[in-house]
Amino acid sequence: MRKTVFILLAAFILVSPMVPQLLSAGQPVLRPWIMFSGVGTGVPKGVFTVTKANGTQVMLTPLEVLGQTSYPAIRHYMWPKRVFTKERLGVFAADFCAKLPSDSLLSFEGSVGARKGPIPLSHDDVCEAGAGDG
Amino acid sequence: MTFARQALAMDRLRIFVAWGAEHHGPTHSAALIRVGLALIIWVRFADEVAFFNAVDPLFLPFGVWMFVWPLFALIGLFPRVSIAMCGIGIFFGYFMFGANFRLPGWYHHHVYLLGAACLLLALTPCGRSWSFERWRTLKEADRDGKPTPDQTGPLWGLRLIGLQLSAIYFWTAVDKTEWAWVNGERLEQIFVWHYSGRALEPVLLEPVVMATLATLVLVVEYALAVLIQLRRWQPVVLPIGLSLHVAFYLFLPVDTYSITMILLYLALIPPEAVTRFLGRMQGGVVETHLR
Repeated sequence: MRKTVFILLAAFILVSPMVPQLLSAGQPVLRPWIMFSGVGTGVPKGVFTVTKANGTQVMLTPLEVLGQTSYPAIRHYMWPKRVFTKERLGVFAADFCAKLPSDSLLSFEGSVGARKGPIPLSHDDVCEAGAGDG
Repeated sequence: MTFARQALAMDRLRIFVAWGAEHHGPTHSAALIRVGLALIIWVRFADEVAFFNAVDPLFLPFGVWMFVWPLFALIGLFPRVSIAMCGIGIFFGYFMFGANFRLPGWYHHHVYLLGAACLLLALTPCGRSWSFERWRTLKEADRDGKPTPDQTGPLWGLRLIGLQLSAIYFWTAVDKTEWAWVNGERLEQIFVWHYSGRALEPVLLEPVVMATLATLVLVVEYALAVLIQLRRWQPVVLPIGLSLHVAFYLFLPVDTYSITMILLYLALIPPEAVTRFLGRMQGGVVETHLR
């Protein structure tokens, strides 16, 4: 009896993560071991550029656009400003856009974190879409 | 599959089952894990399940559960039942609050690991040493003039805990086996979130540093998945694994993951070696109760 239970439990422990990890099924009963793979997803990396009416440009980091010195010390999936589409850049920059003069333009060039590595992202007018969604 | 291969496979399976299901030895390491898990459970959940956080009355019995059973596990009162109840409580929270209600922090790998460790430890006589049960057994033996009961038993639960550690290392390495991890891009995402604007940002966000760290972690995790099970390699790989978890603790908000993994390394060390060490430390007291 103990031998049978041992084999079953050992097989479950060793093999079951294959189902959620390789076949994307079985959750939440089966546990994937993908620690921290979601951390940093939706966080933009690159350069925001403010183009003023007279043509002068100012480069800003994502944190400068956020008006923060660092990202919040909360669980990453609780952060409402994560970016998954270029339209979501407007949510990320909503506070900045609210203060941006109407004759200025905010654009972004860079990438955004995703589960399988960063994906390129750019937007010519970040404040145009999604600014009021956040 | 040829007959010879079938016979070889069956032979390997028999060796594996004998290694695991028939594992027998001193119970001191199992008892230490029991005590450690009880304390980690309190540290991890005390704030969340305490009465002052109970918005819904249904949380109150859960709070009592998560305080009382770890207390029993800690002192070794109904030790196997209490550590099993700890595991059941943790998995209740994992599925109900984590998977179902999506409350932050509950559906996490470190919560699952704690619950799994408790349930697997319940398969061992983890209360045969350092417990109220042990004190009561000794008292009865003294009263009846019987010899002191030994502190050994079936430890297949420790083997399963060891396999759980290997599975964690292997599958987390599988998840990292891709170019975006090896070249440091995925690690960069993690560090951008945690280190942007912080003191170590200039060092950790260097591409060379990230690629080196990422590759190192991947190689170490694959190696640990196998080598932690091999006694010959343990003197080398266990310190490496412990260092890895200390590094995780220092560099990332891992909650109780690192400390739980470090505690569960006790399941990998031959229990006789743990008992001998403790005996030497305590002047031979522990060793005398070995069969």
